[in-house]
Amino acid sequence: MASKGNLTLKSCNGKEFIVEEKVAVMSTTIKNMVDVDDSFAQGVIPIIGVDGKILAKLIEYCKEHAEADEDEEVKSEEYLKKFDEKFVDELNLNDLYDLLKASNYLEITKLLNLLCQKVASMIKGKKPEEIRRIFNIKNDFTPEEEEEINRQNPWAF
Amino acid sequence: MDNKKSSRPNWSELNQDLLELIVDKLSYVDILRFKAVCTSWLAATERFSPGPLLILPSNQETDHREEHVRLGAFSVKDKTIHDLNLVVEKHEDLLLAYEGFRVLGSSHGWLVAENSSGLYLLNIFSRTCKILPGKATIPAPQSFGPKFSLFHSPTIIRKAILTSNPSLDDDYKVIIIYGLCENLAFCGFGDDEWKGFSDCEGYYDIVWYNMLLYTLRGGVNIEVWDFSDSCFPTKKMCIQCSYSPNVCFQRDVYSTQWYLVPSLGEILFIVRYIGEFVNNKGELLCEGDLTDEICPYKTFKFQVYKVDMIERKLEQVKSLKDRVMFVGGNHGISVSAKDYQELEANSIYFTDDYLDRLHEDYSYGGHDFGLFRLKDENIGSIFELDISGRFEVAPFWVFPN
Repeated sequence: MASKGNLTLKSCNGKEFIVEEKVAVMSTTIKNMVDVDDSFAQGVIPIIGVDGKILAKLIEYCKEHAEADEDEEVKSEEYLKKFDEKFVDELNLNDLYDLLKASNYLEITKLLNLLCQKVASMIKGKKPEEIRRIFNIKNDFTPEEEEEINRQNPWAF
Repeated sequence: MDNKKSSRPNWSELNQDLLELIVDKLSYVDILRFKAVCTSWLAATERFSPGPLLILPSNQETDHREEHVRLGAFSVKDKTIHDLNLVVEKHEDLLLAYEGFRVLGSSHGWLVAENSSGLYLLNIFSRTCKILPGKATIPAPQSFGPKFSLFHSPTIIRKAILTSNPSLDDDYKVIIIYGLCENLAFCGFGDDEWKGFSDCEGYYDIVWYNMLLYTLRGGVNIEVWDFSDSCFPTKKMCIQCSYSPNVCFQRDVYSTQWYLVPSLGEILFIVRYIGEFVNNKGELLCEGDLTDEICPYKTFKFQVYKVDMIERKLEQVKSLKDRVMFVGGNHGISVSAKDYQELEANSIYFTDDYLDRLHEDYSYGGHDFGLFRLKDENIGSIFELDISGRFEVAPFWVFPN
């Protein structure tokens, strides 16, 4: 059981993480759970649909940002910017996808923004065919639909 | 062990709200490409509106001697000029500038344009083009003989608007103000000539609103025309409002342009004040005071009035609240800053439509665009770039649909 001020988060594959409350409540979803029901603060909070590997990543991110919010001098804005850059750069496509979904579900707004920005930067300046290749997406348009899209703005392709 | 293949995420199945967040971070051109990736990504862009785009030469440093100009679209949202990959002709000689590519109006997402081969409707986004009847078919104004010719030909088109979007159906009309006497003419889909319909002269602006045409003439005469009989428009109403300008400047340092803009069920009458010679300190000069410094014309003020169609009077409006007006070469339009968060509320976005002086000098022309904030009565710029110098194609606003 977590000591006072700490929360226990449990991933969908059974891994438990003991984290400081200030780190955990970076997630609005967890914050709401703790605020509404005190028993969560004592017991174990199940994080549905998020496995141990992704949960560890989320905690890593929240830890840095929670500490920075508390003490700006130790972790400056510049330090955080570098941390964020490194954090997203090291993600592979699968992790990026899982983290996006998890940070959306857990409402970690800052991280969600960072990840969406990362995806946007991967799309930037590329043609649809290249984007499909990068994200491994199947072109599911009918030839007629595709022609219609190309017809609307041919200059952009 | 992880089976890599089966656990591969499917990016086309990402939640729509996440996809929308990603779209928010993309530029205009990237969103157009994003749409073409797959059906679920297309669906995520449904709520996206590119907002107003400023069409202008995309390479401002073009050599004056070149015969072509590339067009680009500046998006207020992402503050970028996107190359439209469209090249138009121009004339090196200022005296012939009116014979190059010229935009006569922007309305319902389309442009009315002309070049040496004639008049046409152009959708610069879909690259659709519809030929309009030639200038030779425009009726000659009463006051001049048919062969009258000066620097401005009697058939110069000062403004053109559309009554509806030609992408939707063929039931549209093109209405123009033309000639030295500023008469009115129109043509419909498939017509092979322009039909003049005004019994008066000296029209400054025209707008289409609630299935009616509102026209503006000197003395502040506003006329309302009904086009529902497809053969010929009928004048339904003509009101004269008394108007006395209240500006404390010498009359010879500025000129004015008048516009009509429909907004929230009202017709607004907008007066634009342009300093004829403005130095780089922003001071208005008389022609006689000019030194070596180049002092182009420059807009310095706007005034807005509500037209009371029943009492036949003008009522000055001090604040547009959350509305944003667009005036200049485009069909006058008003939008809400709530719908376009990139725009400044309570302001007027304007482009250069000073036709008589647009092509008089190699060092300016087309440059007089920006926004006017009613709150503190100052002029702001739309983008950071240096906008002095000459724009080979005068910039104008388009609302793509």
